Amino acid sequence: MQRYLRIYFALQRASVQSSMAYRANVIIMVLTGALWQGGGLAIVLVVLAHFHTLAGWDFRDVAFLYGLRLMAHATWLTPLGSLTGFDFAVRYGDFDQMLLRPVNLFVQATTRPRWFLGLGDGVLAVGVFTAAVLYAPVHWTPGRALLCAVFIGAGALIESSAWVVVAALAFSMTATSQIGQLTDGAMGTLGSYPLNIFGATTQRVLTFGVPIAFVAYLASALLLGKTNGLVVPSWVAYLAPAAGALCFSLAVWFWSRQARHYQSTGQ
Amino acid sequence: MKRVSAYLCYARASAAVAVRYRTALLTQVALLLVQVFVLTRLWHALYGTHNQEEGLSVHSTVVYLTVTNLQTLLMSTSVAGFVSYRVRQGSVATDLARPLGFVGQMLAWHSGKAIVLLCIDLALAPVAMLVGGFGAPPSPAYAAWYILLLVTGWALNAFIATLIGLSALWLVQVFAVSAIVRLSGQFLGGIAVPLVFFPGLLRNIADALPFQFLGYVPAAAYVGGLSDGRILRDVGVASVWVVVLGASIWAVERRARRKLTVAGG
Repeated sequence: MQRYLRIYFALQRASVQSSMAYRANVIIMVLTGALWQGGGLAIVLVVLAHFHTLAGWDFRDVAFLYGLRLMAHATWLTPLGSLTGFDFAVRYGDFDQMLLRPVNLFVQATTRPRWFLGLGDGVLAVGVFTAAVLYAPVHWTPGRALLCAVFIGAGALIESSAWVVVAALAFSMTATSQIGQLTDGAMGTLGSYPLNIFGATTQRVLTFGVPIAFVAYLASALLLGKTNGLVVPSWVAYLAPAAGALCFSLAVWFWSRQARHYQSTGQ
Repeated sequence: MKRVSAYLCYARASAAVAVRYRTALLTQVALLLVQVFVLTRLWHALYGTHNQEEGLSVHSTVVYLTVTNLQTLLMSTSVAGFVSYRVRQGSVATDLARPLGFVGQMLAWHSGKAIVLLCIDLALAPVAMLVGGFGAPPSPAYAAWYILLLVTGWALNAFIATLIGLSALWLVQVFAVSAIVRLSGQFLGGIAVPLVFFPGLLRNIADALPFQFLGYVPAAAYVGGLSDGRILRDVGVASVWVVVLGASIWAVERRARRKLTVAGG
């Protein structure tokens, strides 16, 4: 394990150094990443400036939910962001080189040179979440702060699982950028608003079918004391870490299974 | 006549490429339906017990959002990325060597894909309205205004994309610029929030830019949210934007031709 971590950090350093060779591109990517995620926040700002509440959630509540989701998003994107462009490694034969190295394939897949869209997401996430924590009507205690950190980690695991599955599909489909966009769009759109705007059936599907509710909604409802609108018992929110660990383990298992079917494109 | 048929060949090739990558189109359609679903539920929740806000009923707003999102599909274009790719590969030299205008080739490329997207939009409209909300324009006159404004908006979008594409001759990589313009354009174009809900300063900024003609103006005309006088004024302003952007393309292309250096390829 220690060896894998050492290799992981060495490869991450190399990945960052190779991307930093194009500094202007990195700066523009950071701005684009922030704008990408900030667009949804701008919508929330504009509509709540006019309507004041959304299904019983005021601006501070929705900002907290939005900030929590962004933190989960940035938390997985920073260490595993290379997975978002993994189909390039399959299409252009980079995976052939990975197969020759005596290092775990998944570790190599997560440490390829990356775009820095995630850094912009991270900067925005920290800014929005800090402001939300300061103004959200949450009675903070050390226990709640720890719980919040655990929920962010769980959300990150759930969101990253979806991307690990997208990366795994690259072995059979070769090009997965569109599926990636769909995943990112669906996660961003469905995960950023209180899910009680939907009917009970949709909420259950988004809790137990596609567990987007575990990314930030259930945690926010619990911390903000807004469990009245939930269609599941409030204790279900505490299952987020288990759900995250299960989803991520299954996704990595699926990735490893799919990797066995890899056929080089010959490039 | 030969020129027209050459441009048509270009458009046909673009349509064929779009159909070839049908997985990408299907994914776009799926994402569009998700967005329509979420946005319409979001606005139902926002209206709550209110029937009317800023002159729009909840039903009109839901139909508006369905229409703007369908328009977004029609407005999605690969021209900027296409030019950028050809600059990086050096194949832009081949495009410039053809006895056809470079901008004309790019607009033909844009049109070919747009025809495929229009067919998808027409087929998708009933499904999107089932997910979002059903609604027709209040009168045939509004329907006619909608078509005119949509065509103008589509042309403006093509011009904006071509300008970004031409900037690749200086910047080489235009992905980020393109993404920034697209994202801010979608927001300021009122794709997710009708511009009547924008606060003062933001509304003024949106009114001063051409993005409103890509989303808000046609969709607001579709739901009957604009008066005849306002529509006439918008048609005039959009036409001015077409002229301004068209002249900008002409000027930028002239400079770009002198600037271009193809190293290998």
